[in-house]
Amino acid sequence: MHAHARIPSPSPSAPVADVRALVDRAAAGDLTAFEVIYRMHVGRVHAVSLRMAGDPSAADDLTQEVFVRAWEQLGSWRGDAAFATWLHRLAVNVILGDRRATGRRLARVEPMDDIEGESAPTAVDPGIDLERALGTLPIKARQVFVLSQIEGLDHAEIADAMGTSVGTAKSQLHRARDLLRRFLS
Amino acid sequence: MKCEEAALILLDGDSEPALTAHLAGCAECRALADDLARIERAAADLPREVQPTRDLFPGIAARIRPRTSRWAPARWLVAAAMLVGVTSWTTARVLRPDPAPTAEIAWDAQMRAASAELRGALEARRADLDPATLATVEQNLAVIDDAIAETRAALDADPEDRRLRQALDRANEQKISLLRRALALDRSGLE
Repeated sequence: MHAHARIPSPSPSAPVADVRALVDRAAAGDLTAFEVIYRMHVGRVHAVSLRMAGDPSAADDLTQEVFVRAWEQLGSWRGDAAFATWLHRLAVNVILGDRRATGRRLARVEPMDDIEGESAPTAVDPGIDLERALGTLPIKARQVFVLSQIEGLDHAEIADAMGTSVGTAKSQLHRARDLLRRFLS
Repeated sequence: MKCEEAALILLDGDSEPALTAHLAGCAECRALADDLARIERAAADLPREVQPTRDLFPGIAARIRPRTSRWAPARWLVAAAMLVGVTSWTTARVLRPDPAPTAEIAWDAQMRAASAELRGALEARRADLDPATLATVEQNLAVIDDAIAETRAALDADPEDRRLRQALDRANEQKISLLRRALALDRSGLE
């Protein structure tokens, strides 16, 4: 079993050749190389997990799941896209495909649904706590908002990742923006 | 343009000349546009990286399978199988009726088929294996099979429980891994 010793995080902007060598080593079974890759990218993966899941414990589980899948699929990275892009895509797929993002454990009260139709809110506070506000959104609306407004995917990419239509993705984004504005007001 | 139409366009994140003209003369819609712009800026300003509050790598390292064909010590196999059993027993406490998702059922069926195929191959090679090694393998398979049976029963009652699903996936993976390793053995047995 792996004797774990924490490895310092290398620079996220490591040269491409270094990344290629690391991935090759990890793909060949070098767990130390994989730990270096993990420490390079865990912050980015965890940020997406946390915002998509809206729950720190679930985010930890999802982050681990992403890297377990990455270990299993390292050989499929051909280098045609940046490794960070490949990993990010894998992370989104894992997160969207995981039942904890849609299951009853996170199917908590969706308070934002109840305020639709209420009187128009006042202006949004300039110092908004968007992280906290995201945690109050219904799961689908939150996922679409994160993918669109934070991760920069367009409607077609979101629809493809979520296995839904462009119209549904747009509708969820509309809903998320509306609910966020009401929550933050 | 009416305010309702303007609000729809704004919340969709779209823009068009008629909207611009409407905003110039409507303070309420302008306030909505300003709010949405603030939200967009806040989203853009969020940190791209958020470190987990604990080191997740030990958990990852414990879950990933070595790529080499070398056997882990028999003690590890027993411990792993026991862990699956304990985990499954623990997670099988919560029961709730619900139909199982089709994709999960299909995946479980694939895992069953893979296990059955490997099990058949192992039976065919039984005579080639060291008896002591074979006994260890059988002992661990029995523990894993018990864990799988318990977890499947719990999942029948609560198909949405992700921890049960994960426990079942891990148990299936361990069984397949164990069978593959056993098939790679010769009479020299476990290390």
